[in-house]
Amino acid sequence: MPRYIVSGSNNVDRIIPFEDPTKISHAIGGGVNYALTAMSLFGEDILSVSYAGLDFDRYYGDWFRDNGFSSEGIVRAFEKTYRVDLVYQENGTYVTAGTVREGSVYGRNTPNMDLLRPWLEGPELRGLHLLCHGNAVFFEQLQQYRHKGIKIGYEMEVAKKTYVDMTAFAEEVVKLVDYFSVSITEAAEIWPGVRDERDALEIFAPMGCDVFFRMGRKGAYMVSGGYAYYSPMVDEFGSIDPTGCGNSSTAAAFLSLCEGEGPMRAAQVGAVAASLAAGCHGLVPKLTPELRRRCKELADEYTERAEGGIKI
Amino acid sequence: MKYVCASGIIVNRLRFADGSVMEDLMGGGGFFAYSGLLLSDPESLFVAGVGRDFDRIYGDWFRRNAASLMGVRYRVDYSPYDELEYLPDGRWRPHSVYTEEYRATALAECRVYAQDLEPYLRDCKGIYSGSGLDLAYHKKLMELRDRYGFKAMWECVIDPSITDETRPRILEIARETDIWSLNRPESFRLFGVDSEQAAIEKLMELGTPCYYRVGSRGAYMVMNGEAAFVPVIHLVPNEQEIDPTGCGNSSTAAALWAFCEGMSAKEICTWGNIVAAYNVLQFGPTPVINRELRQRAMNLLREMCGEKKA
Repeated sequence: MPRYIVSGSNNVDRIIPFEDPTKISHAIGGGVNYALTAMSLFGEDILSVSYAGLDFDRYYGDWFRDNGFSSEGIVRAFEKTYRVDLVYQENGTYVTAGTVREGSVYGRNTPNMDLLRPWLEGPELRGLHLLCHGNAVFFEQLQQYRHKGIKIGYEMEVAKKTYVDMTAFAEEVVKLVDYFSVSITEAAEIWPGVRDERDALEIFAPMGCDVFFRMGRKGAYMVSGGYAYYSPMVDEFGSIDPTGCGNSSTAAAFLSLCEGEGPMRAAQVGAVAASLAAGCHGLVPKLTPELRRRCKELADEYTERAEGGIKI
Repeated sequence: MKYVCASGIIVNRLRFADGSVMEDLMGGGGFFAYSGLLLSDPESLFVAGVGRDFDRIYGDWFRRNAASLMGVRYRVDYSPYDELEYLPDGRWRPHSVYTEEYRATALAECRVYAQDLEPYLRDCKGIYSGSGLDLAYHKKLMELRDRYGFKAMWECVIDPSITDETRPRILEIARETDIWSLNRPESFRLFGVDSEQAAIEKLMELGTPCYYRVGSRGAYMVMNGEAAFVPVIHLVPNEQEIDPTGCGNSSTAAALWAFCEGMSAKEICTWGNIVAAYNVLQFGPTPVINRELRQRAMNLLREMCGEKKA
């Protein structure tokens, strides 16, 4: 039985090159898989319980097998796994297409109780990490499991037009989870008064849950009990592709907290997981024992170097 | 439960050309279909993803009609909510009360997958689905049908455009299901024909029993090489009929019931039309569905078709 469940969107990235847009290639992605990788880097018995298309095995089969991930929690409920187009620009960056416009497919990935219920009674279960568009009613339904001691982590998908009132939702959901995460750009979208990290930290400080606040290359803060614990951006594996760094750091830091580690340590664990994600094109191809050991050593090193928390 | 309706809801607001407004109207094709099933058989279950506002808007209707809420899943904070704005020339234009992105996302999040139906299938005789063209749903539903032995009705709910890409898929689903339904404009686009007769020939070739709706004229039941036509039924004078929204859905689900109960093509068609005749009497679904109404409707069927078979 799993010790942690991670649930969110599987999606296949269609990479459309600038030079010749007809030469389309595919890469597996999806926040849930970055999170699965990052949690498996620092923990064991992590299971993805997520919706996917009938074509899931075609795209993800080898990667799951290579990493020893179980696909028992994958429910192949619709025909085609959701695709996101990464349209590359002349300067090497890309813009995404298909996320919200194809809402009817996008929303099908969203976890619900029908998907999760069979797994939430597991005796070993410590935490459930969700990366998805949100509805407060779903988090209310999860409270019965939270009351039994299962920690709930939530990385909110921020797409303003898909919420009736995004700010109200965020303020409601932080009361229903143990752990919440957004980036600085997302925070500014949710709370229009947020101009900088200071503004955001002041909003997070009184929240009842821990907040992992991501600032891209500027690092991240773990906000806990009115204090902010800083982790710088770690660059140990190269900066090849930033895709999935936020998903990776958020998930690894959540696992660290659930395992009883302190907020400073959790922030560093998150930074190391992000660093590994940044060092690969797309998902980390294979988690080897050496890689796991190296990441734990790095987390130890950065924790040792870190200064104390800052009172907000 | 003997009958299951797997679908969703959409709340409606009507804004008339004179500026008056009707809010919080119960709607959604699947919900109208459920009202048709419930009128046919009290042992009918509605399985759908809904919003937190479901109980406020639909709760009384379910309780008043002794309809089970066991299949209702609270999935989103706000149910999809459409405004239909009537223009002075009588046409109307729909738009979401929230954003179109919220609507699309909420509809997807409320979607019931075929997997979700399994707890209700042990004694099930028929399932109505208005499920679109996703083959994964139909594949799984057919798997469940083969295991549990129910009959599956597919109402061909599709975008206005039937394209060369979707046409083979529609026909594939129609071939595999036990009974299906579509309306006249859909049949013309699907088969590239321009008359009901030509469409009926195509439906006969396809072979799957079809409840074929031809708008204010009535409906055909095409099965076993026969096309039984029954004209639209009026319970009140024409001008007292209020709103045809949902007539197609409710009559289609009613046709499933009659089909599963072993009725003839004419009886199936007549029953569908009777249920639609009740649906048109008000905005929203038939408000009170009880034994008395069922009996009255059944008597009407008997009068129109002779001996009652169900």
